[in-house]
Amino acid sequence: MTDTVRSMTSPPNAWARARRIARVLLEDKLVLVSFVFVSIVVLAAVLAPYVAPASPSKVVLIDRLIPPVWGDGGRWSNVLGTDSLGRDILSRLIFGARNSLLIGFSVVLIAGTFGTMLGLIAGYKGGFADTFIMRLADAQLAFPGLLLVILIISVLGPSIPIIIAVIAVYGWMIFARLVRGNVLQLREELYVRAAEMAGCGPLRLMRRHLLPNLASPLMTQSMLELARVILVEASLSYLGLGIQPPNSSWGLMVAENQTYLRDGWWTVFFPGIILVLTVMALNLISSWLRVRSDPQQVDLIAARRRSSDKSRSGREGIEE
Amino acid sequence: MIRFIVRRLFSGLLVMLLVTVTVFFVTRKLTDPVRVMLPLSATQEDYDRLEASLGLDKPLLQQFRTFLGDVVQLDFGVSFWQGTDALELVLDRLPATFLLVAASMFLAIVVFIPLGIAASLRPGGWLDRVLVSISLFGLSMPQFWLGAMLIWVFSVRLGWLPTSGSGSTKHIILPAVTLASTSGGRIAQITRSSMIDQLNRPYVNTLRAKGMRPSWVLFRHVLRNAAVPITTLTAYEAAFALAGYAVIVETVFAWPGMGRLAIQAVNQRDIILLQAVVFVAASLIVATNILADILYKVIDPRVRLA
Amino acid sequence: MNAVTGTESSGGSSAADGDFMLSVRNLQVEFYNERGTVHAVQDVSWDVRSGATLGVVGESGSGKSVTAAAVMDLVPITGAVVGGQILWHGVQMSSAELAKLRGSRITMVFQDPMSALNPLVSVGPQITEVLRKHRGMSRNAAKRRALELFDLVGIPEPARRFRQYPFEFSGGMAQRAVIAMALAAEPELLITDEPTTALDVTIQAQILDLLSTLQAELGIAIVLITHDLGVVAGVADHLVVMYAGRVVERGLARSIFANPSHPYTRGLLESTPHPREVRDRLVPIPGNPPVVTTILPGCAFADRCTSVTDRCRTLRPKLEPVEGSAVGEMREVACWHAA
Repeated sequence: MTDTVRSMTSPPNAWARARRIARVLLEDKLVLVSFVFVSIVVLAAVLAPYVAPASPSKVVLIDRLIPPVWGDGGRWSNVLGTDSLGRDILSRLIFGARNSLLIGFSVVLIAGTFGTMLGLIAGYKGGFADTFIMRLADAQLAFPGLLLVILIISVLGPSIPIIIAVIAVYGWMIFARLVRGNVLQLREELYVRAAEMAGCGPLRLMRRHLLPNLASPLMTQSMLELARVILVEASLSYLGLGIQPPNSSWGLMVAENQTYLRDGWWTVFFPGIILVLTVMALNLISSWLRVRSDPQQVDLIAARRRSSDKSRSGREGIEE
Repeated sequence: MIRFIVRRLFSGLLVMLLVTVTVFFVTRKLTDPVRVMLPLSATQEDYDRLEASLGLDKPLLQQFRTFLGDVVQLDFGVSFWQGTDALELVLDRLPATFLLVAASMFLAIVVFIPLGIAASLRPGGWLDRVLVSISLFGLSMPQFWLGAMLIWVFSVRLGWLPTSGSGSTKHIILPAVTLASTSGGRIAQITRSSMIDQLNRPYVNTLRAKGMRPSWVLFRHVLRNAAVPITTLTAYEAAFALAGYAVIVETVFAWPGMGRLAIQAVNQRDIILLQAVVFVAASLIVATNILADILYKVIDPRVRLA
Repeated sequence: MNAVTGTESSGGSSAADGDFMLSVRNLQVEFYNERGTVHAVQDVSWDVRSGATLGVVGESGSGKSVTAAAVMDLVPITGAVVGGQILWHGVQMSSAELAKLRGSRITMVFQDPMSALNPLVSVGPQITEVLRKHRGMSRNAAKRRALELFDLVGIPEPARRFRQYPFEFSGGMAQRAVIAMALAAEPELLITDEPTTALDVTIQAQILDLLSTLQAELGIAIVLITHDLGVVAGVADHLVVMYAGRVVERGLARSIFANPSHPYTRGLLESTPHPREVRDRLVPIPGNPPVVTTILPGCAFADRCTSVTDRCRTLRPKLEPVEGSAVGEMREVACWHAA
């Protein structure tokens, strides 16, 4: 009952919720591990020149296809081995992370901002703007996305700005949809209506009331999108339409070395496994965030656990 | 119902028009296609000749009219690389892509839907957690890497299956499994969440209050209701795979489908052929979307009769 | 002896247990969530007599629906029955035995007919499946019987309606169909949980009328659960008033309406609009019903009661016969200041 009164006069406290999330984060170890993993990858990418043990592009043909340190003939200076051109795999992984994450973050930033703006307009203004934006999103979804991306990049050339732009063009729709849905719901909330009636202008309303509430779903979606974009960039690089040699990208590493699978499985295995783990970690974190920010779900999970404990301890439902 | 189909066809045509405009814009305005297609050693004469033969020396608006006219007549020009009709080349490869997508959808459905259903019956239980992990893994895996790893294990090390190409049933196994991993992961997720959503609905409680057996409740009622989002998602997955997302798998396994053709076109700088692939793919997506919408209408009586 | 509160309960009424069709004795049900335990039902006892209607009245959160769910062995997975007994014709039932009664001897009608029915299946089959399962009928016999039931509950054009989907029915008609569904197995007891709350006022009266008629014709017992005293007024023979998971007053309905004993019952009567009596103003009960997460000593109604004293907060009153009432009225109330 006090909850309804509170929600009528002020928006929910985002900071209190964030603190609760942080506290509970420590309880779910798998998510914690994912968090740590992603942080390590990001840090390594940012500090690449200082962290990488060797140069990622220096070709040393005499050192071709050295196995990882635990293999036959491996050595510590190339912990994860070398590729077909003698380049250190770990260093290429780190610099690859740098490139992939650069593209990933840029795309999510651009598509997210653009999509959020459009979603806000569509949800708030409604009417023609809403129909137009949503129809546009639907139409774009009907395009053969990957093929068009391939077409555009092959025509314009695979430079990093082009790649970012093209992938971003295909990323705004999901943000717009998400924001629009949330805005439509939020508009009906009592405190938003109250603010509107008090004369709060639309921009101010968006900034102070709508956006803080959008922060949580936006963050969750951004993480999912980041995971998706990393995969897209890797696929493009694999096809030769992404990051170009001698730069490194996880997808490119797989493409360059797949003919050497027989002689050097590590050249293909490590870039792929890092990709998988990063994407998985991002997915885990975002679905955990989503479950946690829905109090109903939280209760449901706790309730199931406790009542099944009760029935397992042998209590008969109806007793003497 | 007829009106609905007509309306969807109309919006499908609109989408095709948008695709046409986009492709035109990209291939004519954003870049100089002639320079892209010609090798570096080409002379100014070669340039002029190619430009004229493609009709690129005319003013832009006229070009568009010709372009549009060609598209409507399904004339996509002559492939720069192969020298034969572009559309024919694409349609030649289409059956191979169809086969691959059909096989992978079959796998995905047969394996992941039952698993999703079983997992939803005990949310939080061990099967549920295993399924969620497997589908997460499948979703997170880049198809090119999964393909490469599968080749390494089953072809190189074990020698059970061929590494690439097509021709026998053995050839389709690895590509189909690879393609099925991502769709399967998503199908499993939606099956599970759709089932859980239905199982929490009031009518299920009523059914229990009526004393109906759990298996009856599941098969006669819940599955029917849960099927709606599952079938639409599966249709969309098939559509997208057909429309080009099979590119990666076809490339890894050198499967002679539409996707691989597109990559070959890119490598050969054949923009004309690439255009043709894009158009065919777009029409496939539009067609499958319309079919999926109709299917949705048929399944859900509320939508049908309203 | 109730281990939780340390009080004795009076259990059932003075008549022998075998006279009752259904008896709930000292029932306790809990629900679990992230923040702790909700004691939804703490020590509830009531009885249903053959062929009679029992009204169970209380605000949301009083535990009335949960008690009914427990009787049908339908407590959701988030909760558990942790104490008490349920007797059917005087015989104590385990949850497995209750599950067997469910749908055949005891049936239930829920609040919103639109969501109670499967939206993607025609209404007819949803009734025939009961007939085929609990009455062993063939498909044709079941269809014929279903049409008869439609007639019984007053649905016109039964053959056409049989094939239609729930969304093609109006609210009132859908509720009639649900009642038909509940009667299909020829139960002895029909439990209705807020059967009229989702319906328009005029339709409400029709449905209540239907229930009375059906009871007279078929001799079934009915439990009518509602928050609205107006609904039980003409229909219930006996009344049970629940608050915060406990019974606060019970007895012959007529008697309670004429002379309510518990302050809460009095408050409910005074805050209910009455169609025939003109009142100056409705007097609402201040405050909100509690969600019981910790069981505190004393009466749960203390915070909202106008006659509250210190004793009310420290010692919980037990159900005792009301002074000055006739034995036949079977009046009991749990209050230190019973009128």
